[in-house]
Amino acid sequence: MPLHELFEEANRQLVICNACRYCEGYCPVWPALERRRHLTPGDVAHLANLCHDCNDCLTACMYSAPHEFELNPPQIFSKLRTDTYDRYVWPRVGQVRSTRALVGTALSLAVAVLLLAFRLALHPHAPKGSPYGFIPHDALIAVALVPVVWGLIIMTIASLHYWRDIGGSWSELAHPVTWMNALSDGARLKHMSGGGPGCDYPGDSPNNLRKYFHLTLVAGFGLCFASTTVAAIEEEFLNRIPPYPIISAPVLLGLFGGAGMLVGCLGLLRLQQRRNLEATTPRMSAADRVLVWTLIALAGTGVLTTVLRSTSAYAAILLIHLATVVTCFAIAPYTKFAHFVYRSMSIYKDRLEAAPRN
Amino acid sequence: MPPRTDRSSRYALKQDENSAEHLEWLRETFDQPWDIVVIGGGNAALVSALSATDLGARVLLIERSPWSLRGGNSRHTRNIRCAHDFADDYVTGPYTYDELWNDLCGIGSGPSNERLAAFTLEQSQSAPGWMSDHGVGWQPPLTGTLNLGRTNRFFLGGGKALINSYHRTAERAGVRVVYDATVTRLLVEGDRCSSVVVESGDREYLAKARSVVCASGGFEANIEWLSRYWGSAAENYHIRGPRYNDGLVLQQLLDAGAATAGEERGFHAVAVDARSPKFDGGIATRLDSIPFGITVNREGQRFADEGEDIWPKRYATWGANLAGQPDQIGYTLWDHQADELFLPPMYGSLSAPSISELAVQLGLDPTVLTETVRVFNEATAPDARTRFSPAGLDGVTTAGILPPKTNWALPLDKPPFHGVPVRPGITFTYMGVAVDESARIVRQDGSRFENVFAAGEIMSGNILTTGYLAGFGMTIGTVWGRVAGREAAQLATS
Ligand SMILES: Cc1cc2nc3c(=O)[nH]c(=O)nc-3n(C[C@H](O)[C@H](O)[C@H](O)COP(=O)(O)OP(=O)(O)OC[C@H]3O[C@@H](n4cnc5c(N)ncnc54)[C@H](O)[C@@H]3O)c2cc1C
Ligand code: SF4
Ligand code: SF4
Repeated sequence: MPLHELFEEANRQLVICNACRYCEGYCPVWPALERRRHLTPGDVAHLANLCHDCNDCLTACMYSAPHEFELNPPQIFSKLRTDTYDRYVWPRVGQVRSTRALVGTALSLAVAVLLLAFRLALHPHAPKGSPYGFIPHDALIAVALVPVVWGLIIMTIASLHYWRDIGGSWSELAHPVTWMNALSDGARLKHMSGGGPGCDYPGDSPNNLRKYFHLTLVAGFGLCFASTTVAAIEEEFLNRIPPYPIISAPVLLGLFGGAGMLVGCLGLLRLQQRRNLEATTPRMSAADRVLVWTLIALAGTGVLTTVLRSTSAYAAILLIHLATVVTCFAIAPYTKFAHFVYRSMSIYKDRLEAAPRN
Repeated sequence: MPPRTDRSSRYALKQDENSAEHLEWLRETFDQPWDIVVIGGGNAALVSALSATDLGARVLLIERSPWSLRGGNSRHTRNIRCAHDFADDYVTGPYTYDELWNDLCGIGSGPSNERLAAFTLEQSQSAPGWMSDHGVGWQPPLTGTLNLGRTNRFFLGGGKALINSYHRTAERAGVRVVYDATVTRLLVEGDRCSSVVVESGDREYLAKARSVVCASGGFEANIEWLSRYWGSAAENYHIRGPRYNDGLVLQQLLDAGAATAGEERGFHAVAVDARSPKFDGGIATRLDSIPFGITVNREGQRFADEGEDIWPKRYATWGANLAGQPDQIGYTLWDHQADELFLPPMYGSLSAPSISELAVQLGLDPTVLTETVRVFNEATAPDARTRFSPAGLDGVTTAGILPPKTNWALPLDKPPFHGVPVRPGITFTYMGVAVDESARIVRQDGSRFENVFAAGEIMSGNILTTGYLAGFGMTIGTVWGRVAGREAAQLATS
């Protein structure tokens, strides 16, 4: 659907919501809507990214189909969010749907580069079980850094564009306390609670399953990130070269983190399969699936690398894991991974707007 | 059909009403005798069912609508008015029994049966706790609405969310719910009714029970019935709720000798957008602009005091105000300075830089409308703008015109000017069956039906005459549903 049609449909629905307001207690989308009597495309994008897709407004709405008003806010918000994910990244990959091709390309590229590096030089003195037995240290850093820096630049530019489009000014970005609060709201999924009793997800009864799985996933991701950071510090500053023993910070953090990510991903996948499909769009479901499977690949290969590190499969699995990591970084801005960036911007904006009322 | 569970995705619930499985399930349902059959699927019906299962009764609930539109008028509600002595998380201050009693006496011609009205208020005090216990969630008063924060409690997500919660509780309690099923006849013998005829698909079934609770709403969706009291004007009314409340069960009860309570023309009706659907437009189609401008009829003349009292107290008089005008249509007008003072209309407004251009858009005589506005503006006070305060009664009144506008009387002189055509939108009718304190339906000879009970709109005429207090429909349904369910269960299980 072209943006103007999306906007018109969102506007049609939200004008009804603004005359109704029953959903005010569910999430900050509704109070934010009430502050806007005349909506712009930027406004609806902001509201859409503020929406945590909990489904509650749909199950509570007396105007949902078959009523002739046919309200379905979670669905129109999903459409708008996939539009946001497409719109702001460079180069525009068109649709998140094409991520599959993207994953393929990036993965093969990563494998090729790593293989090349592996061919070019074997680290002569690396101990058994150390990655540098297969891949030179500097090459690894370089191959990993390029997509990370790329992703950061792309997402920074995207988020600033988004910020302007939803009506933010540069000076408004400089409120550290509000940032802290907003990021904490986002990380804790404060708004994924259906006003208290939980989200009507995947079915019609309030519960907190999705919130907990998502939190587990994010916590796991954080632990893996911490594991890598600790390893880097040990290596660069303490001169401890991997492999690290099982009872060591990097390995334990990595194992727990990987397990957390897997539990979170599998839970979310299961819930998604049972989801009420009329509340979402095929594109959003596909984007969700791609993201979750990518993360499963990331965490799965990571855990395997640790588990298999004293076996002969180590080289192969390490290569696959590294390729996955590099690929994930490379494609992150083009997948739903980026959703938290826009959502954080919108939560931040919402906090700024709502502040005078508190 | 196995009981439709809320746990699975509701879209998996769509099934062929004529499937062999569904028909078998219906047959099995109607083959067995029930303790109680509850007719209806709104607030009063669900409260009755839950209150009966609390006492261990086996309940069959017959809802006329399909699953997706279940809940009658109750699905459109947002709050309930109960007496309470203290503020809490969801009400901003005390609202005592006495104050509620005074409010009730101040509307229409006061309560129709003082004893039952007093009982309703008394029982209202324990209603919110009971509702929470049975799954209802709350939210702080909605912002920017009709300042009901002290007197009314708002349901988290509104009435449909409340209905969904009650259904979940009912499912756990083993209440069996049949959708797409209409009770067409009550088989009454003497003072008892032990079976009702149910139509579902193209078949008829007999539901057998020891007690019957009638909670099927008023007759607001029955234009023909309304026109008995309102004449052809009724054809121009909009019905704010679903089509199902056509008074079928009420008529059956009256035919079986039930006594009536309440006035024939007693109803709750507000001004709704004339562009809204004839049925089921719900809350979003109402217009809250009236106190902040003027309202004229088809002839371009004002006909009522737009600023009589605070809007929550007066908005329910505008349905009747409009019903009395030619063609049952009105036009509410405001200017730029009032544009942000009320909830935005869902179909937007017609606007123009001058009154005469607006008149053309609305199909009114430009000369007459310009003159009406000129006369009105001249009657406003010179210092009106400085004293104007939308937050409460500001006493900013007109002088020397009839009807006056006794509050918020600002001149309409800041373009652009806005207008919306409005019609009477009926919320619900009051005339119903008379009941006693046990919610048993009273017969014309003064005796009672032994096992037939009523709750909700269908008996609201015992309490309301003509006026209305926002949130009181749910109070009546909740208080009397509790009584009806309890009494029916006691009778059935004794
Ligand atoms: C837009 C709107 C907003 C409102 N807001 C409020 C509010 O905020 N607070 C408040 O207190 N009140 C409000 N009201 C009024 C309130 O809805 C009613 O007073 C109350 O819901 C009545 O409850 P009830 O259970 O008696 O009737 P209903 O909820 O109308 O239920 C009647 C049920 O009976 C079923 N039925 C009808 N005929 C048959 C039959 N023959 N066989 C089987 N089933 C049948 C219907 O399908 C329906 O399920 C509002 C009404 C509307 C229209
Ligand atoms: S989703 Fe439905 S119930 Fe919620 S605010 Fe919008 S119109 Fe009202
Ligand atoms: S789906 Fe949930 S989070 Fe999104 S707008 Fe509706 S209530 Fe808010």
